[in-house]
Amino acid sequence: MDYDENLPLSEAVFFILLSLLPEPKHGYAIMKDVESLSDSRVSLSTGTLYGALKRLLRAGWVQRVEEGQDGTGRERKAYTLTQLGKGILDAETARMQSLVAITQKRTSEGEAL
Amino acid sequence: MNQVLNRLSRFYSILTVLYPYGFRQEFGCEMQIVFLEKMVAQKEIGAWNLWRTFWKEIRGLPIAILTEYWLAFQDTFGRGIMFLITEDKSWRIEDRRDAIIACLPPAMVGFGIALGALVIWEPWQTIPHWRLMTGFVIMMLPGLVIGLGGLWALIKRVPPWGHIWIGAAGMGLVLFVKTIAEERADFGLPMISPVIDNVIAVMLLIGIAVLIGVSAWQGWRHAGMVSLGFASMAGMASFSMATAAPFNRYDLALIAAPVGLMMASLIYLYLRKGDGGRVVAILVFGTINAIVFFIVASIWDLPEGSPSPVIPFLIVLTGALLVGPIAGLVGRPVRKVIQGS
Repeated sequence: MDYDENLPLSEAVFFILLSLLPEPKHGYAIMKDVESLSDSRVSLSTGTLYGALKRLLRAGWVQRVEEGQDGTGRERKAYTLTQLGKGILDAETARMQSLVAITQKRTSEGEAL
Repeated sequence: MNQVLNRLSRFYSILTVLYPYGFRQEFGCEMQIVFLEKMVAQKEIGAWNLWRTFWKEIRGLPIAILTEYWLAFQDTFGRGIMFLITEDKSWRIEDRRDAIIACLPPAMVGFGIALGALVIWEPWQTIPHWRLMTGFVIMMLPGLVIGLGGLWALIKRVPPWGHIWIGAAGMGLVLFVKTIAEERADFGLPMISPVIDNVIAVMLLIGIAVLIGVSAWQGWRHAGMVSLGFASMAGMASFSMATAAPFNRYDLALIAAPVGLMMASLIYLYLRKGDGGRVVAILVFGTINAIVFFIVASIWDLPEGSPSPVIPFLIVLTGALLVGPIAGLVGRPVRKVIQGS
């Protein structure tokens, strides 16, 4: 599968995928994790988060898992990364690493002159 | 729960109703839970954080909602025009009696015009007053019945036969007001001041737009029925023009009866057959209206160089026939996005 055609990811999508990498999370946990991962730079509103989750679900990058009931007896839904989503995240990370490597190379060339 | 949090949560749940149907069904409840969790956490930090976060949530909502509508419309309309046309293709008026009632307006008007013409038959100045009035009443009576029927259909929240009657009554009202206004103006007695005249015209236009809009919400087949009601009355008005002085072509007005029956048959075809039958009914209906109008227009003796009203009137007739189905092709998907049904 060619992941590159889906890149680059928006910052919000990148952080949502990254947040789901270690374990499934429900909506609020994703929000908190994204804020923490981004050093409070990316603060998702509920509307933005669920708009993004809808598109990620449709694209098959994440999937829903039931997480049992919350305190009010409502079914709690959590989201987890799929293999496709993980592949996309890896591809985006590799793309960014390559950008960093290119930048570092050029910077070091400049310093050597 | 704290009263402030309770109110904020309730306010947010009202706002989530603004999302497209599919989206709020899938995520609405979850969003409300997450919003509340977020607000509770922020309140523990302090009131300033609570209101700042609340503002950030609300500020982003219009764009988020509009984006979802845009995507939902893209999704629905992206399925293609054939999907929009063929959706609910099994629809038809099941009850034969309802279908027959729906067909009545053009037949009644056609027979009314033909019978009235038979009674009057000669130039109005040359016949006794009672004969003129009897003929006039016979011509106008079906219009009155259709007007009352249209009103009844509105009161009964549009039964299956109601769309055609409401459409016919709406167009009948427009033509009636226009005829009366012009008659009085011919005698230098304008019915009302030009300002009120314009207000009435705008109100009638708004009324027609609402009729089309509401029926378009149900789909092109329903809106098409309203259009058939419009077009049947607009087409029949051609015959009334032939009987007017100085033409006095009561012989032409006799054709109104068979034409009315043909229109009624086409409406029956539209209501009871499949989509192919509906398209044929609309096409034949339009052709009949055009032929009738050309016949009637042929007796007009317009001064050399004066602009012909044929093309504008044909545009009105065709527009009346097509406005419903076209509006319905747009209206039904819009309803699907907003209401999900």
